[in-house]
Amino acid sequence: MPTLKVFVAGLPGVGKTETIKSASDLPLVSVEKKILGTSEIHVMDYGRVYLPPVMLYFYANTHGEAPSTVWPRLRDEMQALLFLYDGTAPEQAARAHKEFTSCISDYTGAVVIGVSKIDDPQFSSGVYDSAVEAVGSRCAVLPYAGLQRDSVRVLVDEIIRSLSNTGGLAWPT
Amino acid sequence: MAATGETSEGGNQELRLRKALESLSPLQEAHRPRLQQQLEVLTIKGTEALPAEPTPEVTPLAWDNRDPLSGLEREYVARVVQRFRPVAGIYADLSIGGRASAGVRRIRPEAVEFVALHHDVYTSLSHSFEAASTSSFVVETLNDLIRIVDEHRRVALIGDPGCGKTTTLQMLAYSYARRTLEAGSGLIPFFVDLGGLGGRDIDEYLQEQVSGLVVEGVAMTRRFYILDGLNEIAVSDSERVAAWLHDRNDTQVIVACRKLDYLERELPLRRIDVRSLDVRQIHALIGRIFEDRERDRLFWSLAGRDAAAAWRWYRGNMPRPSFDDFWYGDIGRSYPYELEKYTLYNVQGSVRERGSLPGVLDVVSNPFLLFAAILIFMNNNEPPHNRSGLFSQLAALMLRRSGLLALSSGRRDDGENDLSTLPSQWLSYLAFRMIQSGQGTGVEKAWAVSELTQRYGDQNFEVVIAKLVSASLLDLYSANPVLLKFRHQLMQEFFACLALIDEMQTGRSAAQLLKTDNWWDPSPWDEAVVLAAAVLGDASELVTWLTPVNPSLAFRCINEPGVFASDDVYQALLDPPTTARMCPNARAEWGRRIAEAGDSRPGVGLLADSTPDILWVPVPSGTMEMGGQGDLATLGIAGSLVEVTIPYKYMVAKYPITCTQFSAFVSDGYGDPKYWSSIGWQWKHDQAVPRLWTDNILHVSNHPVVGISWFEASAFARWMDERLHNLEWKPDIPELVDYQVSLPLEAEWELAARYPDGRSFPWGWSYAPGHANIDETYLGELCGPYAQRRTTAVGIYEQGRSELGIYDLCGNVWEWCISKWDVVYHFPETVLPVSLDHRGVRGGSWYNSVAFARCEAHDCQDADLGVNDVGMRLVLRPRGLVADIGSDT
Repeated sequence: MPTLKVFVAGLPGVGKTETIKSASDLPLVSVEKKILGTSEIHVMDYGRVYLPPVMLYFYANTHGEAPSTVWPRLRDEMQALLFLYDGTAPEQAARAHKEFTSCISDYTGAVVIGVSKIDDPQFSSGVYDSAVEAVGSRCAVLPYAGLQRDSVRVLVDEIIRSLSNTGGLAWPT
Repeated sequence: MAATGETSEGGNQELRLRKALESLSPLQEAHRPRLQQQLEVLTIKGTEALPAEPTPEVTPLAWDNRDPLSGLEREYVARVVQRFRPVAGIYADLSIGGRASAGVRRIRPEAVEFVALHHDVYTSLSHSFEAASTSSFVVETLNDLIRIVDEHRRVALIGDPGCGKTTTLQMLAYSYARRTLEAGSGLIPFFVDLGGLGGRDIDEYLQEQVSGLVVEGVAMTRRFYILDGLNEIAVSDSERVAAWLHDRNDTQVIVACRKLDYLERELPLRRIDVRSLDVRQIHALIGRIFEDRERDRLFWSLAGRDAAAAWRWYRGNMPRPSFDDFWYGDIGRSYPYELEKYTLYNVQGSVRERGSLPGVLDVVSNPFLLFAAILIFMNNNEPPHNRSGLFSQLAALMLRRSGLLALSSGRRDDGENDLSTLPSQWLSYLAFRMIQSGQGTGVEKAWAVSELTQRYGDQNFEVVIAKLVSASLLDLYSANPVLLKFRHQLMQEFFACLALIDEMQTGRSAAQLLKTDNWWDPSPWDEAVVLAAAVLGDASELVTWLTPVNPSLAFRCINEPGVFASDDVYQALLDPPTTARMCPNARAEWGRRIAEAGDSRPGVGLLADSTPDILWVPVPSGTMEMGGQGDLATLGIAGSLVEVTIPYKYMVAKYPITCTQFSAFVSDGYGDPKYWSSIGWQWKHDQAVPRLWTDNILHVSNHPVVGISWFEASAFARWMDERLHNLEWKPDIPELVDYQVSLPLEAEWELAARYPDGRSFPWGWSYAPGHANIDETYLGELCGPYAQRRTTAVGIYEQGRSELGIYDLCGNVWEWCISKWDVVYHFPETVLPVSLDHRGVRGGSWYNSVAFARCEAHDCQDADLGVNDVGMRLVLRPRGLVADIGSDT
């Protein structure tokens, strides 16, 4: 029976913490993830949700660390990547896409893109459009509202679906 | 914020999603169902998707309040402006009064116009322990507050007594009325004191309070209800208010309530908490009334002698001294022999870590009490030195102003004697009876006259009450002048405390006055009792009287500034006669004290040769049903109902491993790879101590060690195993002569915890307040009054011990188990291979609610994470039954 780890990545301010907070059954906690064989430590937001029969764990980089720096160190341990674009920051879309491309360059596991803050009046559908255009058929792109649990839940469902598609899940359905 | 004509937020989201759906590329078509699902969530459910926060039912601001005011409305609004124009009068009166009565005080001219509405206000969106910095904001001025109210429209203003809620509401009424009057249109404020509601029809009551204008004749969307004193009405009335508000969800409203009372009166409004004044604000507020010299005299007197001495030292010894740096700056290392610097170091630590201000500053962080202190300083030329002094002097001052003291014989001109006069006794008795009779803060004047007459005989209490009203000690509700209340709730509580002391000293038992069922719930007596301790100074008698009934409140009394109690009284609080009410707060404090002194309890520290001193508790072999708690299933930690047999006797450590015990390993075996699994050693790399090892809140010698990963915990177990074998130590049980020291299997842990009957908690079948260090106050799962919010010394929850005599199995820290974890529990458990996978943890922690505290809770943690609420406990079992985790090397 699987317990699955999902890495939530994105540029600072995109809404990673809020997303984990909304998704999680537990109060959000901050943990330090130490990279094996090094003294490198990454501070992470940490949460989890139980969606029978699977327990999903979320980890998000904090302290402004670039996703492309952290992801390679953790990817062996993670089963999925949730990459977030800030729906209210079109000017960051190019940088976010560069980070995303770097993260998935040789990664074949489950990936979902979330375009955050659709409940914000400043939300720009241009960010969504550019994300869709950029990722092609590699993964799903979903606009969502990070403060709304039901909206985040749709994103989480998509992660599970993506895991099924990529063979990341191995439990009898 | 008048956003007339804008599309609603829900509509915007819908448009965005529809646009996204329309722009899907062929490659993205597969995701259409998900987008449609998202569309449904965001547009149909709307704000219902936010269960954690009672969100105001905001409708688009299509107000029709741009219509010009009618003649009657204009007159009404003008009257509101007129009524509340002198709202700052309380404070202006202080300044003027001070100037008149104490000419030596040097007061800033602008102080007369000073308005004390300088509150930090922030929204509290979730459980208070959670950091919600991203969603909090600060309101520094009245205009900021108006902006927030405009934006959120339906809000609750929550704060402690005396924090300025009423004045704030009055200023809001004034400001909105003035704005509307000047614009000729806009919101019409209806200021209503809810205290007199008393079961009556809400609309009728409101209309009574609003003279000269028919409320129903004003459009819903231009009404602004300003409702004061939600805490002054019965809970059943507040439920009616909630329903009434629900029916008026397009009307702007602000409701003020005292913080403790809001627990049971919560309304579906955006909550704004009024925060205490901080040290800078207190200094600045005093500075807005007094010139610098007098400001400093008052401020440093309130801060206390030590802080004042430290300030003098700081100013004389630091290159660029500043007030802010004194409190919050870095002063570098200090040594005990540098007395003032050391004091300053402690003051800073206290302010930063506990938010606790020195001297009386803590008390005057409440604006009402700050202005009381200012008033006393102006009149007596001496600031008060503690809370009771502050109240006593303020009450005496007001009594003197009432002219009633002439009725007492033998009066002298000092505050204490003023409080032994008849008028003071009348007020005390009235305050006491108001609380005792359950009428709260407002009573009918006739009732008060009758009560006083019955007790004190033939005195014209109609006249007395009129004088007390004119002296601002009592007040009559403006809309219902037969209803009487104390001018301020804190003043009522102060007078009630004087009567309470009399009752105690004349032999009345605490159980006769205070409630004994659900004793931990807030009670109208709480503040009066704490004030009584402050008045007494030596609270030994009061604490002794109180402890059997409400040890929690007794502990609050002991911790009130300026209050002390004898050691035997303190000890009795740790172990009171009514054991069901032992006070964990007191015991936690005691645990920290003995940690400083050196905790010599067996099983907590080290033996002479630095080997951890473990007390082992035998556990018989047996069969039990594991898991089985359905409520935990939603969290995925229910385990599965499975019959498990442990066919061997084993032993469990009486306590979790303490910081002192783990430190022996840090000094001795932590750097030796032979104790570590290969991946554990790889994970440790060059780390020299566990995470959080230097955290002085968590790293207390007799507290359980936390911040240890599973790798560290299992390395400790191997080290301990070797150590005991080297010492040739043998347990008394023949089957365990060849033993293995280890982390427990989940089954071993659960069998020991639920012994002998499969109970859900180590002590029985249901949770009981104060039995374990968990967060009993967790929102939605309230089960008691206690939340230490940190680890506590091992072994202090006497009532929480298991049938076998094992402590801290429930709460304090989660305890690492040796086994790999799965959502579905399997027996036999899997130990190898060692990896980063999740490992089982058991027992719940200080951080968790009662849901996680059940013995069945089958939870886990990443093997490589060391967090602040996971520690460890050892077991000792026959060797060879469970894999040695070091064998993977």
